[in-house]
Amino acid sequence: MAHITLPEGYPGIRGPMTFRPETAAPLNELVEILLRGPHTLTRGERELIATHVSARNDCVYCQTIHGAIAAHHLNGNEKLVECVKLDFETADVSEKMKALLAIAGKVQLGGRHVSTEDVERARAAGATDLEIHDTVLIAAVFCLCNRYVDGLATWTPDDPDFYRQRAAIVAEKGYAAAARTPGVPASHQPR
Amino acid sequence: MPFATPDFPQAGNQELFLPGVSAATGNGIYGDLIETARRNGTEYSKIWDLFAFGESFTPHLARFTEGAIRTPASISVAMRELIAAFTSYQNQCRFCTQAHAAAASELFGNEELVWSALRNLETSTLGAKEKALLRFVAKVTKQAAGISPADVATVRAAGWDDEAIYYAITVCALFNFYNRWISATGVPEMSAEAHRLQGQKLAGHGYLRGEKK
Repeated sequence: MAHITLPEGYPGIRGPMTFRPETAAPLNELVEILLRGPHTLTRGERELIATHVSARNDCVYCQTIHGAIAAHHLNGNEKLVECVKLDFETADVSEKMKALLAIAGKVQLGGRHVSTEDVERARAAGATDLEIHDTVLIAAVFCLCNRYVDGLATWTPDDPDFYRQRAAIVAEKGYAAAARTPGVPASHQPR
Repeated sequence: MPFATPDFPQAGNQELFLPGVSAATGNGIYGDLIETARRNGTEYSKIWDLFAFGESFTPHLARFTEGAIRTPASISVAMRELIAAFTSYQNQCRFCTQAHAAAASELFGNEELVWSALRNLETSTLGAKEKALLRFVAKVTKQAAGISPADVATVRAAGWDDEAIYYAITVCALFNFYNRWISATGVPEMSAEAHRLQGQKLAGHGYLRGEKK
């Protein structure tokens, strides 16, 4: 049960977002632009960055939903997503992505942990300043979202299919539009 | 009294680590502010470089920040600015610590109280109720996934309601974002005087510059 009284039927970040819609709207718009706006990194790659940071922060809801959305964008490759969560250096992703995930991991520890060598590695692998900046930005935003979700102990469903279904909706409609879909009635909620 | 500064080291750079970001100032509000400051040779906050670069999302970030810190609620704006400074101090972000310690000092009318709470919460003269909330906020920064109902019960017993706890968590989470964005991109701190002036502006006018609420 959530630590404070949140609207029922909304998992993860959707609980507090429904509790304070005026706070939620800009955060949703921000995530929409960062993870889905036009970019040289694919939507799947940006979702992997979000998933990796959420896994490092031990946030079950965020790593599961963004992992599911990443897999949706990556031809359903859930194994790749799991590998990126646990040990991205051995994952089947580009050298540039590995360098960007390394930066994201440093940002998770704290902004001051990112070293010149980390940035050099990314540049050498072909990353632009925009890609490096946006990796930092996505990683930092998920350090916000993970705390928002866990600090309030929001509802975290256990059923993986729940996340797969939600991922399909987000992947199709985007975060802002998906946020307007109704919550799950108590009688239909999974465990 | 000299303006207080954090006791952890600064990176020492004058510009962002990503020159490709500083160069792209765009045509928005922040691009104009940067242009004016550069033309007049006045010191400006390099966070504007980041805001100008991210023109598409900056307005949403500004609205989220304004909402989290300044929406009228059962927790004061002063206390929320102190949470911003406290979180930034824990994450050793010099820029954010000084910016929000200045705003909190302005709102509390007591710079010494603010800095004593940042440096040593337990021995500071801050009230017991406020200390309880900052202890909770420290755990949200260090170990959010380990927050338990008992942690929340302790804060409630100290006299904070759900709305106040919600805003405390939201502001803390927001600064766990800002601290990382600012430190990793290398936003340098300003002079003590510039931070003090900026703190007065933030305390008085908030975070919107023409963006709609």
